[in-house]
Amino acid sequence: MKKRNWIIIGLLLATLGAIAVSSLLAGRYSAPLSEQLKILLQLPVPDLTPERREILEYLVFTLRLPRIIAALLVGFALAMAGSTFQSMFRNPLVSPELLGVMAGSALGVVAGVIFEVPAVVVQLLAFAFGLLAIVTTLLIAKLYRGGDKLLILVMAGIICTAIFTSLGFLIAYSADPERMGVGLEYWLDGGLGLANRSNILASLPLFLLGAAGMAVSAKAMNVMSFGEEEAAALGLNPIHWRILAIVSATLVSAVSVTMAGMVAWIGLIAPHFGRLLTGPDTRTLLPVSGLIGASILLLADSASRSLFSSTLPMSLTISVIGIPMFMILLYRSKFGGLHV
Amino acid sequence: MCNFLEVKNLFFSYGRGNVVNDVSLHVTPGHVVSLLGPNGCGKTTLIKMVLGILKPRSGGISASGLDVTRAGHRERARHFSYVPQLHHANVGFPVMEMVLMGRIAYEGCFKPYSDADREAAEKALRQMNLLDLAERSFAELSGGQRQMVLIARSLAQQAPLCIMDEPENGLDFGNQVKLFRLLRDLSAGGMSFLVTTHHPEHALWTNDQVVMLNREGRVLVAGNAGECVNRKNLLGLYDVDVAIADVGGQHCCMPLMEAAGGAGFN
Repeated sequence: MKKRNWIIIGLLLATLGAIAVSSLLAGRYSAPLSEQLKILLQLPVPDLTPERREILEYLVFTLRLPRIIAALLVGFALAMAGSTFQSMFRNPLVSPELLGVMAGSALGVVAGVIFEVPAVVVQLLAFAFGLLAIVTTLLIAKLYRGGDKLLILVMAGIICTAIFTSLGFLIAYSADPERMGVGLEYWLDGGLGLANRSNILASLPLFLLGAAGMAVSAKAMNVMSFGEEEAAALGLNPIHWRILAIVSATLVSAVSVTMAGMVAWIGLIAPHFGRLLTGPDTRTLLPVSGLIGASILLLADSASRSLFSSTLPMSLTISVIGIPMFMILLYRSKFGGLHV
Repeated sequence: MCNFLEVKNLFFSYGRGNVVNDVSLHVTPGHVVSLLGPNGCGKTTLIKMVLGILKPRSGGISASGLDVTRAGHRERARHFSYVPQLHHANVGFPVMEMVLMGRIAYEGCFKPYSDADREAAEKALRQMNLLDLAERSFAELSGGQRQMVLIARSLAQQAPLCIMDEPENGLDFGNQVKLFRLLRDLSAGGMSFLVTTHHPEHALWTNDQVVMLNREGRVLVAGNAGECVNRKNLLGLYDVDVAIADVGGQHCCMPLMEAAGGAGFN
């Protein structure tokens, strides 16, 4: 990787770190950052009553830290998945959300929660329905030959999202409302309120597995940005790599949904931002867009916790950050010239 | 010595009717074979079968003894490379990175590019006189430069045969001439080319071999360009009357604009 790209990654890491540390302050209960950091690092804090120490430990380790870690994981994962989908479909307008993957996974999660299956099965359902959704989108897109392929795929994704979201509503409303727990809107709007130590630990291996799948496909994705024909002629099997990359991206998207519901925008804008910074090389784009995605999600979550006395839905704060960002990106790249 | 490409009795259909109809051809080492034919004669289908993207209904394809229809993509890519039609894909990779992609067949996708890969890519760039552009973005290049980069990529692939799909497409007159001079020089060095083209003239420029596919996807005639590119064959192929002239020892092919026949596009 070029020196310039390393510097960019360093700067993004520093930014993310700063956002992460300052987001310890986000939330209704206020405690000085220095105290929270000392608690976090298990350092002694002078003049602290045992009761207050207990409260602070609860605040840091149970409330805020899991949320921050979950935001990092989900943001990173969705951005990587978005980059992968955009590269694979050679389409700057797709993302886990717009391809219907997240709606599919959300249906899996809602079904799993209602039928009270174990957490592993919920993850499995999310993954299976995510895959089903992307296959559905591709099949719908196949119905329409000719025309603008980029737009047709997006339209197919919208149709697919509508199908799976409606099914989610159907299941949710036909079930005993008490069984839903946090409620359907948590999964549809996205949020990090359910993040805790155990579901982070349960998701981490799957995140890593999917990230590894995308990382090893990065070189192949570069070659495949010229189309299947050229990729095959250059000596790689486009179908194998396409499956590996898409399944990996779907896996991390699905796990993100089990943790945080349908988090909008990140998977679409973070890759564009990344490409603007370091160019189309997927090997660089995956980590760069990941860091950007994590930063945006963390920022959005902190804002949703601290702006008003009650927690705002995260979809709202993400939209406030994401929509102007996307509009600027679109304007800068003059749309037609959007590179993948 | 084995032929770099040997296509035997190839058939293909997308449903009813054969698109490729009993096509046989071969590319011998150090030669340029031009593949001529009207729109829809199955040239592209033929190329796709050779590249392993379509499976032939029957018939065989081999390259230097390798059974292409059964070989894996990597193995095939070491036997021949492919230069696609000039594309306007706005892919912003640096030229060096583009050319390195020609090396995928060697180290595969799991490993980063090796020093040998970088040397081969650099050599290809030097050969094409493109070293100055190595850091430039592909998306910023002119059509002619892009085509040269794609050829450099295929040279980095170090395969004995290169298949080109209408390489002259989108190039200005000067670049077209330069392209065919380049093919002539590279083939003198032992490399072979299979080039699809819409210009009979270009088959004459190479002064090498030609295969003509007619509208039914059959080989109309194959042999020396100087002999096969003649009035009768071109009339049969394109339904257009031409005159072949000898200018300073070089054959030229001129369509007769005022001649009868050929109303309506095919």
